[in-house]
Amino acid sequence: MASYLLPCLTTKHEVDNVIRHTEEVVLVLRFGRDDDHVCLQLDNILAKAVDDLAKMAKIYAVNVDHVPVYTRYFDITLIPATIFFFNAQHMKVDWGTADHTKFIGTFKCKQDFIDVVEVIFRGAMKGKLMVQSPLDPTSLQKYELVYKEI
Amino acid sequence: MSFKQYKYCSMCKLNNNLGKKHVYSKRHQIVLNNILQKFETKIVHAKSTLFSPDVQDAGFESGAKFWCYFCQIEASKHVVSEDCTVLGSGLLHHISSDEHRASMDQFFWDNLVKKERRPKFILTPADLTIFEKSSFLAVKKYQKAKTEEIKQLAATLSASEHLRCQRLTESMQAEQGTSNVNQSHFATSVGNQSAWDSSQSVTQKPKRTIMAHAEGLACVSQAGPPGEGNVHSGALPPWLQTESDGLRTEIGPTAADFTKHLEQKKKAKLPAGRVGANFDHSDSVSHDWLPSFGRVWSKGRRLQSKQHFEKEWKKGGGSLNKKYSSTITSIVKDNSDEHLPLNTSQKPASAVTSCGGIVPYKRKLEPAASKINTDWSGSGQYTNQMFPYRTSAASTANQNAGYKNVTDFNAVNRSALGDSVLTETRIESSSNFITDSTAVPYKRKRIREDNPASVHLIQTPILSLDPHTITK
Repeated sequence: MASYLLPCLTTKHEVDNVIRHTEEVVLVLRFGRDDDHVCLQLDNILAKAVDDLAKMAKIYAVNVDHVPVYTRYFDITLIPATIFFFNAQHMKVDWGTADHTKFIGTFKCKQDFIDVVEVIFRGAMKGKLMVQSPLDPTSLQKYELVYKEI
Repeated sequence: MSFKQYKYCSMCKLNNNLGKKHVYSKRHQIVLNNILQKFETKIVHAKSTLFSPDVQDAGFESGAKFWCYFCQIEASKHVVSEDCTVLGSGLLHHISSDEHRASMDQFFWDNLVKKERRPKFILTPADLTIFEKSSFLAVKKYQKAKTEEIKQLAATLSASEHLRCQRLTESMQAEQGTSNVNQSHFATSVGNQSAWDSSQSVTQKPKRTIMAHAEGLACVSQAGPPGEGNVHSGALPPWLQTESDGLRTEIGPTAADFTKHLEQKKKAKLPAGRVGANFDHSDSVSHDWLPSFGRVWSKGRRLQSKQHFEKEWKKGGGSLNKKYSSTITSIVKDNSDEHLPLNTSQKPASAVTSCGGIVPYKRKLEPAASKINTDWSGSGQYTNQMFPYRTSAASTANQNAGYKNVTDFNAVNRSALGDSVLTETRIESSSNFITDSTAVPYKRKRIREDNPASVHLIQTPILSLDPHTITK
């Protein structure tokens, strides 16, 4: 497990604990693989922002291969996928893309990420489960998703 | 008329420009007489004690001072030794000093006072010695008297103490013959425990009341254990007995409680309406716990989505089952000619792919791209026609509001293509994807007609329904 940039979570139990016991701060879970280059890019940005956001957020990296339950539950199909929680409640963000439940891809710069976390934090403090993203939609990773009725 | 400077006469408290003539003015004369009279009376009073000085205790009129009009100074009236004061001694000493004499002369000269009055304000050295001797004797006498007084006081005190003790012993003897009544007349010295025991010296057996009756009063009786002592037996009083049960030495909250309290206080300051405010962060949770998650495609309550997922999970036997993913790559018909746009893989581990491999916005996929594409499809030729995004019937099959085929690689397995082939190619292809770091797909907004060869490129989704692309 190479990730010396961010704390890693390897089992479902660990992820559960982290989600349940992070109190009053935004919990950022990056789902991806350690050796994937886009994930590494994102990890770099997240690691740089850890100190700046210390009072607002806690950031962890999760390997998708090790927690298939969550991979399925959160419907993670593209990596890196970043999911935000607050007090064990999942926070949705309207990025202007199809999927509001997670952030797919990497951020353009550290400040973008900080802005996102701040918006989420403020929204959470006000009791909103869904917030509007401050990022420029053109700077986001574009992707396509197709769904199928199960 | 010559000009005379205004001068201030401190006695009259008046400015005048008469110069020396001011002394003759009526006002000044009156004031002068008053002053001299006052001072004289003081000095006469002090001189009267010349042969028999008055001695008092040390705190008598402490700090008392007098104003000498001639010297214009304030001097202390009495002299204080260690345990007594001699009244008027200070004044007399000042009167007899040389400075006073000199200033007196000056005063008399300025204010044109007759010389006859001088001796009244002076004390001759002879008189002073007389005074000192007599004061010495007086002090001695005073001290003696004082010690006498103290001795007498001590004597009276001891006498009364003795008397008291006597009476006490008498009462003790008297108690023997009477009934069991508490002898609290004489306030015994309730000092310590030993006093208890000794004063209530157990000359007879300790007793306890078992019955009492009085008219108009309620009877209170408690039968305690027979071994228990009480006031009369001289047992240890309850408030001196160490605690036998209940609280230990510590009182108050523990350190853990305190930190918890502080945290609670901090939390109370947060807005009450925040998300998850009432979430109980306690530890007890089952193995199957999942957080509340609003799924990607679903509308409705989050709880529903969780239940849905649990159902699926159970159905799938607790393992990853491709078929039931809500987000899929593509549903492909079983037509073998169909080219799968995407990789399929049986390995759950590689079900998720890097989206970094998706979009090289910056540069077009050149011959290398075609190689990549062939890897995907597993077939040699790759033409525009065969490009899945345009041509695949599959895309029409599962068309949804303008979303094209996904670039997500979770495809259902194709029997036409061998698994092994795909997995291999997949691994290869990933290496053929963007390798240099500059190809960050944010830099430029992709315009469709930018590049005529853009047909080879993976197109971004265009939400507007373009009939063109759909039908193809």
